[in-house]
Amino acid sequence: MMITLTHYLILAAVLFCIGVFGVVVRRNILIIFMSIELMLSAVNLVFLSFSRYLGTQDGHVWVFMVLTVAAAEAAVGLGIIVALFRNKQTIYVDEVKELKG
Amino acid sequence: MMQELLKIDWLVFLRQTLPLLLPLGGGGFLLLVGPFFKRSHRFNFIFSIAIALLALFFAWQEWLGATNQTVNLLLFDRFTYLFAILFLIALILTLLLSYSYLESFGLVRPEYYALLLFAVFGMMCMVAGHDLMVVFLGLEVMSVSVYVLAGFQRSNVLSVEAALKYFLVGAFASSFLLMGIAFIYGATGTTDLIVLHQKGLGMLAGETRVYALVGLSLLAVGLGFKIALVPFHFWAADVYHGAPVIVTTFMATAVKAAGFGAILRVVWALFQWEPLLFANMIWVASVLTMTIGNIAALTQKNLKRMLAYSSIAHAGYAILPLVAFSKQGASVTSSISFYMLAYILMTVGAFAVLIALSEKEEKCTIQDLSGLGTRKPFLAFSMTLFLLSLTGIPPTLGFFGKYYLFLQAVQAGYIWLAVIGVINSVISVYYYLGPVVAMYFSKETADQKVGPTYWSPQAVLVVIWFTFLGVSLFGLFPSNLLDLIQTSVSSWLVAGK
Repeated sequence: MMITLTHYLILAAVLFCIGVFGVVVRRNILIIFMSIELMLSAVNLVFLSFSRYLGTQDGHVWVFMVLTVAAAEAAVGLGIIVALFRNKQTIYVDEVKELKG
Repeated sequence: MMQELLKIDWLVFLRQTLPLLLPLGGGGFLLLVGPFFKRSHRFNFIFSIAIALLALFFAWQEWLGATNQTVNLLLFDRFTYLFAILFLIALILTLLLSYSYLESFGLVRPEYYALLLFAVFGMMCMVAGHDLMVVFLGLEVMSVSVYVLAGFQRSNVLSVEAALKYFLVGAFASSFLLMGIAFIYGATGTTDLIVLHQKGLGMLAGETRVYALVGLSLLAVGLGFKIALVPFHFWAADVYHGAPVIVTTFMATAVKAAGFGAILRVVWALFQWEPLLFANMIWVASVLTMTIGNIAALTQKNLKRMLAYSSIAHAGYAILPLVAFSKQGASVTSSISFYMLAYILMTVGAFAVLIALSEKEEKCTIQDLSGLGTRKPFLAFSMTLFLLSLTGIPPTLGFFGKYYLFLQAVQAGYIWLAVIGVINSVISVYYYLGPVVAMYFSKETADQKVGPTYWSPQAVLVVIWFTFLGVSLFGLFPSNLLDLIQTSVSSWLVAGK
């Protein structure tokens, strides 16, 4: 069987949906964070498969940018999680609800 | 590629990018040299103000001589510099508010100034980029800096919680945005905004059309999160409430304006592929955002939270004229730009009054304002003016801003949309006048009489005076300002065709 563009796109869509589902359902911040990374990986897969399909290199450059941004976000995000843990000794979002009104 | 690089006149390019490079270089300098000046808060403060003023000067110079040139991935037209000037004004006002606040809350660290400068660099990239890649990278530079700023008071659990929520929602939204861009790339083979504008959806058929529509919807979700449109608004109130009030000021003004600047570029390039569908989407989003923002603001006791919901409502007003974008793009764009300027001035003013009242702890509830009319007549009067301007009562700047927004909708035949907008403004009178009533008609509580150590630092007063004069004078004479903005916008929309 030939593996076509559609197969890649469906795989990416499935990965993306798993990511969205993880963000919405899980309460552990680290797992939410991993789900977001999964969504970004799905994006990379879409870029690469379109890039291959269209025969242009732009998609590859985009993947580098997405990876860089994901790394920067990871650095800042983990820092924020550490700051939260120092204040509250928890990494579950449903225990973090000081702000309301 | 080499040939292309050689063709660029580097000196001209340097001059054109100077308003962007100055904040970037200044922020880097503060981080590298900051450790040696750690004790000198004053140095960091004066240095950042100087950088911002210098960038403002060059942005103005470039605005005067803008040539609509595109160099590599950047677009140097008057629209870019207009928004650069808006961001720099918001930056300078925020910086002036910050000095005394940081001192009294024990948050003196050079990173604060560096992050503000980096954020402004990111915002300028968002507006200057003519490739989605630059827009996206600018957005991320801005967002990542602001995540950190929101949690800057890291021993305060509220601030850290705000940073966490902002970060999770922001990263979630970014992946939607990216997925949208990926599909648009797949449909068209490019992410260049000018090429995308010229392509148009009419030429796409079959599978590529499906990709394009998927891309557009995901992109719209991502952008909706970023500027807090209903139903993607739930994070804004918590984040604005928890962050230090100086950062809230920055987020509510500069970050929002940057979002709108980028949205105008993207709408121009992409969403005109399907003008009718787009207009309907905007219609629904605008009505929902206005109404839900205003209704949620009605019950708020904390002014930071109230202003957060009001900022959601104002995003609803500001996207309202986009329904008419395909018919009268230039005037729609200038009405939104004008509103952003008005919104920056009045919101910074309102927050500045709150900052002037906060010494050791933030005083942001309505009770804290009670009796302010007799204790601090000027603060109370200017707060009243800012709130009236946010409501949209003439002759303030906010009135003219809203008038131009609604005018666009009426001219394009969306009478009902304008009517809903006006009804929403009437609802908002209730919560904007709450603080005014408290300031003038309610008695001071006992502890306020005991401790009247009201401390209003000079820099904060300067900001209040500046915004006060801006809101009232431009409210009386808005036409020059509007001319200036229309000139900036028309050069861009002509250049793209």
